[in-house]
Amino acid sequence: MIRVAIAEDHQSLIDGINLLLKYEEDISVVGMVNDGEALVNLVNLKQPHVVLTDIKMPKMDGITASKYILKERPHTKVIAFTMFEDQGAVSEMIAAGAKGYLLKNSPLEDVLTAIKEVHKGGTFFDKTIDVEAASNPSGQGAKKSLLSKSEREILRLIGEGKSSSEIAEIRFNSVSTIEKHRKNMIRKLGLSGKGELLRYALEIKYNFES
Amino acid sequence: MQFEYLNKHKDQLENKEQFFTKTRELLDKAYEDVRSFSHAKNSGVMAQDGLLPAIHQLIKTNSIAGALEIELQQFGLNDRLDATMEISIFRIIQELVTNVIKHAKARFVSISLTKHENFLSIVVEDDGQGFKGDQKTLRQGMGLSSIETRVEHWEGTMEIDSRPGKGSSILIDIPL
Repeated sequence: MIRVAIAEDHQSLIDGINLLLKYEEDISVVGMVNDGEALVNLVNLKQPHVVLTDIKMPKMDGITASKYILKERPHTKVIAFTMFEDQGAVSEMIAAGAKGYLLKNSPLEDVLTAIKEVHKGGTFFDKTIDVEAASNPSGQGAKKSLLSKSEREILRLIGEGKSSSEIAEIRFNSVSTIEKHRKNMIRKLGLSGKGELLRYALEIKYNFES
Repeated sequence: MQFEYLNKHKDQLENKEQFFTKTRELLDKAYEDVRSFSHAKNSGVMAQDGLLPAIHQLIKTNSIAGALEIELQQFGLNDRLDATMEISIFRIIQELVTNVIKHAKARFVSISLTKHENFLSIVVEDDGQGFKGDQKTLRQGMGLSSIETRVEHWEGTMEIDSRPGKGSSILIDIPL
């Protein structure tokens, strides 16, 4: 029996996964929580084999939670699942010790396959993710995100619905500086324009720690 | 420039050993530089390994744990650019970083290179003391004019965005 813990701040998604796993004879869900802190406690208490965790969550993000969990219980298998393919976040999760990475729009069977694979000691990464690139990011040091510090900060403000001129005011920048950052982010993230950048900022719920 | 920086920040430098190691590395590097200058006038790392390794080397030489962090983010530069252009870009970044170390009292410098379809965006930012003035006086006063000459050579554009106490951003686009 594979014991699974789930952390995800969208209750509907938790319910969906729980429903899927309920009918699996060799999988049992030992707990479901909505933030990273609760996940760390849950893992200590229930000692699941596999942890399925969102990356951006309240109180503590999935990356930090994974680090705590794997420090205490290195045999736990962590699978990250998130809305967008985000090379930076993938890199950070891999660095934290995750064995799997799923996108929220992955087929549900993938969730099952991933749980079983990592439990066996293998790995499972969504096929759209370039694992090699994520494991060896070109930037040096611990900061493995694709975006620079300013870009991450601007993305967060975009996600709060702020316009370029509002962001410029907050950051003491000129509007054209913000526009340049936007352009660069659109390029790096492979998006088609400002609208998609806004959608990305809103949906990815970027890991804002900087 | 490292010495100037160390002098300014000597109170923060608890680790003397780090200081000495760094200094020795710098002297070695200086010797190497002088030699390679006399040979080729342009640094060997550039010609041999290209832009990114040269920038990594620059970062390694100039950052100090706990006192000055320099970060590089690059996108799309895994293929080499035109060799002359790479040297120009390297010099631009080198001069910008030197400027920050000399004037900005910064603790964090970010170098961001993003290759678009037909231009390269270079953004160098710091969290230092910033500076005041309009674009024209800034260009003349801050040692940025030599950078501008290089940028103009490639028909690129340069913007300076800084306010006192709020760090600075230099944004350069070079057509490819």
